Amino acid sequence: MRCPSCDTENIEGQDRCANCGSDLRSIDVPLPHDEISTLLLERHITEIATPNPITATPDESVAAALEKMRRHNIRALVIVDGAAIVGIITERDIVLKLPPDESGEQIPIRELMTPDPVVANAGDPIGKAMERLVIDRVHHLPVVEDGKLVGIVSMRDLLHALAPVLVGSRKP
Amino acid sequence: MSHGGADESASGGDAGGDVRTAFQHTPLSALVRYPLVSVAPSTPLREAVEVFRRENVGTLVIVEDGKLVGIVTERDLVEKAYRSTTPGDAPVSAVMKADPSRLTPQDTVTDVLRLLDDEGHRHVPITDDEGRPLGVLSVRDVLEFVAEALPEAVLNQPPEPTQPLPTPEGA
Repeated sequence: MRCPSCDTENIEGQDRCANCGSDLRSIDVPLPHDEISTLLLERHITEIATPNPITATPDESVAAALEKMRRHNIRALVIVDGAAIVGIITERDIVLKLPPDESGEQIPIRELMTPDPVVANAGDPIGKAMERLVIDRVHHLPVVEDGKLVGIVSMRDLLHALAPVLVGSRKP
Repeated sequence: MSHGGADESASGGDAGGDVRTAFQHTPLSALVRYPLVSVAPSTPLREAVEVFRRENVGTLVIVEDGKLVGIVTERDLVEKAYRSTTPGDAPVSAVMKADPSRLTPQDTVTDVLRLLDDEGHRHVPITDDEGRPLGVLSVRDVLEFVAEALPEAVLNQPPEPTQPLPTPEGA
């Protein structure tokens, strides 16, 4: 438990910061068991996922991937080979790996994509998606059902579902 | 039941309060990581992209005379830099988002959740009252903080409402 004033690490449950004496009681409190646990444990990933995500094949060019991202205003493309999910390519992959003067016309997606991406199951609760997004440090999770791609869930989708519950300004 | 805090009785939730109340009182100074990665507006785009890669950041803060003047995100680079219209020797200011929304270290977790969700951005620069940049918060930083504040049971166990809540994991 980190003190918000001086950043000192304190033992869980302390009332006051050992270093600066700040009141820590407001950051060490249980959550409302109702709304948040309902959202994370009982509602399914498919409720917050975008269905039928835009895909590309590994042999398409990076320029084509950029064009698809712009046209659909999205930040990631699931890369498929037939019915199989073989990778994911994101804005980040492109920014980190494609020189700014390159158009990407001559570079196949397979060279820049992340192969074998972490996926989520359609039947999993939203908490599972949060776990994957946070622990695996990815921004997008393809959602599969019976091995088939049925959706994609992003960090943003998760934030959008959580924010109303955590902020309390509107109904989830 | 009140929190018993000196001046926070108005916010006291039920039986010990809740995570929502906690977030209203957690300043962003508890989350911001220092230092931040910044470049000047005149920095050539090619060089800015190099900094982006080397520092492995999700956004670059553009600083002039010590003040925040813009940010450059992956989105900005993908939208503008990979078009022949913006050559690598153009200044980074040509692709930056000028005068971005910002928060201060005194703003709260609730404020950043609201701003990120309302504006749809992935990053929020944090500045002091004079507009000097101190750091950047990403959706990931905020959700990691949220995940850590939640009891483990909420993330990876079946609901057992009658069980007492376990202690949240430490940092």
